[in-house]
Amino acid sequence: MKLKPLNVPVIVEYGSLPTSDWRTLRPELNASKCKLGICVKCRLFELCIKLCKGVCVKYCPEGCMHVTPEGLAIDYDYCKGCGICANECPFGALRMTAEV
Amino acid sequence: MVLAFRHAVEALGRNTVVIHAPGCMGWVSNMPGRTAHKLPAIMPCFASSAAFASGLVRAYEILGRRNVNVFVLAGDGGTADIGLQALSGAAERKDPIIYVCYDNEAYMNTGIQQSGSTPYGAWTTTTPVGRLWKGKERERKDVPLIMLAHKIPYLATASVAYVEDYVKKVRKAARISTIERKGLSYIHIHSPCPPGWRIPSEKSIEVARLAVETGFWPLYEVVEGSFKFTVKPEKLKPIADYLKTQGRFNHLTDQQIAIIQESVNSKLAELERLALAISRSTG
Amino acid sequence: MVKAEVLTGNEAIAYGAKLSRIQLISAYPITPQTTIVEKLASFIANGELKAYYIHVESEHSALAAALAAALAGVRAFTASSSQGLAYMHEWVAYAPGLRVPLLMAIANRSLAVPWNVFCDYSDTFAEMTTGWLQLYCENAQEALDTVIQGYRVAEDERVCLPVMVCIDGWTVSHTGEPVEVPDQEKVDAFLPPYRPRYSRLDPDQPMYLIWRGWEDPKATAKFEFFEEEAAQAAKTVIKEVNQQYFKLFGRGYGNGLIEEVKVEDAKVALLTMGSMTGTARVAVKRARSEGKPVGLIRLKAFRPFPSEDLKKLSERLDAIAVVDRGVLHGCGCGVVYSHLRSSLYDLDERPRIINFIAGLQGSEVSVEDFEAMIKKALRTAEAGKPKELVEWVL
Repeated sequence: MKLKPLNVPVIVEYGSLPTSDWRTLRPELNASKCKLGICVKCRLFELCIKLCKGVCVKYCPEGCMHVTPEGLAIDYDYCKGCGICANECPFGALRMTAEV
Repeated sequence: MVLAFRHAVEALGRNTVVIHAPGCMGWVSNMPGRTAHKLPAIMPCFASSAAFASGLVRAYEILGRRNVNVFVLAGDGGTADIGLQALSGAAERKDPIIYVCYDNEAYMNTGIQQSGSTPYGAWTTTTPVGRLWKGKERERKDVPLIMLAHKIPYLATASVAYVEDYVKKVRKAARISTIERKGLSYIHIHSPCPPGWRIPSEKSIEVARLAVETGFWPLYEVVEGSFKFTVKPEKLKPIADYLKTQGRFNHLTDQQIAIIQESVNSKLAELERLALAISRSTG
Repeated sequence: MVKAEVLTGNEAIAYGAKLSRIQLISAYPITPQTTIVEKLASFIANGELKAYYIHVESEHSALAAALAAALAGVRAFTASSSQGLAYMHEWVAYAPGLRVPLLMAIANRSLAVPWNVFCDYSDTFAEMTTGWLQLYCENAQEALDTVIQGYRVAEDERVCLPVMVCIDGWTVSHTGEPVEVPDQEKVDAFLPPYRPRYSRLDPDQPMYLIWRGWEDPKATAKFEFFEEEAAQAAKTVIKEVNQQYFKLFGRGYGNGLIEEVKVEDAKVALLTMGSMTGTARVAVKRARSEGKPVGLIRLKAFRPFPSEDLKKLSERLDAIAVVDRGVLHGCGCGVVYSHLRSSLYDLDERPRIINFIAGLQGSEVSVEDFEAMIKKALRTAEAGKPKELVEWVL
């Protein structure tokens, strides 16, 4: 019996398989309440005591919270809707809403 | 526990090999043809993650690649129970690996069975609440103190609620193990499991924080024999505040809560005495 | 210039490993394998062998560490026996799937219960379905040579499977014999340094080695198919390596898979493994001096099982007496007997095959025992059918 060799992909590009389709709640950002500074260079949040310390960024298990020059961006491809970000934000800038 | 993984590998960098012990993190890290991260990884047999890491780290030395971080990520089951022997051996051999145990206090991957790290009174599927049993009837193992007896160069406890503290500890472990080659570094991080602890997922960090604020999960590190609490709440909240947040402790009687409070108090007293004794012996 | 020394089988294996320039050894003591790793430790302690010795705390960890090292790209060695081999069974089953070369020396010892440190093959036979290659050695010289050959076979790209080199506990492992220790330069010419094509677990070329089978079981099953193909390809590789070793060092062991002694003109043959072959040779010689048409087949490779070679031999034989040192429990017969029967079943002209279960629990199989077996085999060949198929020599 002859079989074709297995073709196992070695490196697959990031973002090729979103793991979010089982989400039932999604975080919605109220940008006016979000006090996250644009600390694109510095990731040592303990120094940014005047700002909110980026709790959503550090506590998101999936690392879906990204700091961009425009403010906070949420990666919905990988967000699974756990709700930690909304629960931890001291300014209530995030709210969990039903996934459509 | 994904937090424990994510922040650790961000701190360790790309020159890292991950050994996923079988368990939650191991299985969550892959799907067919896809992986959750881009680091080289393997899942060894359950009982010997630390031994596998030993072989790997020594092979890298032979190949002249001493600065590769060999990072073992194991759950409490794979550390306190089945993996304890291998961990003990690796510690005795001073194999320079970074061992992080994420403690969700049961065998969560197989459906919430009790482990040596399950605390007294907790409901699990193998220590259920019924007419005769009221949750787990024994105290848990204290793996960090077991590792303390091995005199490893770096030992720490951590919590997912205190990320900066954890990242500092991972960096220290990497320096002491990978760079300075002093031996095995062990970090024991508290990691809540929403289905296993019967908490809503958004409360995970809050609950972990309460564990530290009530003294249930003291945060300390022992750097080459020198003991230090890294986070010490000034006034401890009563343990009931922590226990009532979780469904797995719903059934606890006042007497059981009192027992738990007593054991938290005595554990903290023991740690204080230890801190004093250790710093005296190392002069 | 060739050195000749009196070495026990265990020491010979240690010399074989040293000459193979192993880079890492991770082993746990167990009788009767312990003196292998003691000898290697003394080589390392004296600077004669540049290898790292990991003092593991159990056999399970021993194979874990050795496998990790092999994956990283280093030539690794471990050794065990009996209870230890059984303890590491989880890794023994895991290793072939990784398709990484590794060599493990086994000093065969019976598995408990009854507790026994003496030899039979119940320990390695218990691992026969895992996918490891298994080569059995008759004496210390062969053990040394087979370790070197074993690395060549395991590291061959057509194979990439782990190899067990097995010697009889005590009879070979602890008995001193004159052994020629080849020169390091000659061994270096025969066995080049281990350079894997793919460096696994390398941060510069990250590979994820967690193969998850259940979502696409047919694809995973294909994996096992290719693994089996490699085990079959190993037959050719073992023969080649044996031939090349003979050319370079003057010592060959049959064709690498089986060794025939006077089978060309025989009507009846004994089939043995390991050190009891030495006693069988004496019995066969005596029988032949009495004019009986007897031969001897020694099975060196139990895995891969050399069905084709045995088929070819069997075509001219009227009866084969298989001497088994391990029982296939639940099947009422010995292990090799069962394998041989299934290999020869489709021949148009089949020899009668009878089974003698002997040497269990370290019991001695004497020349008289073999002579009795030869008599029974001859009677079977004459009568055209055996009186009883399986006999326990107790």
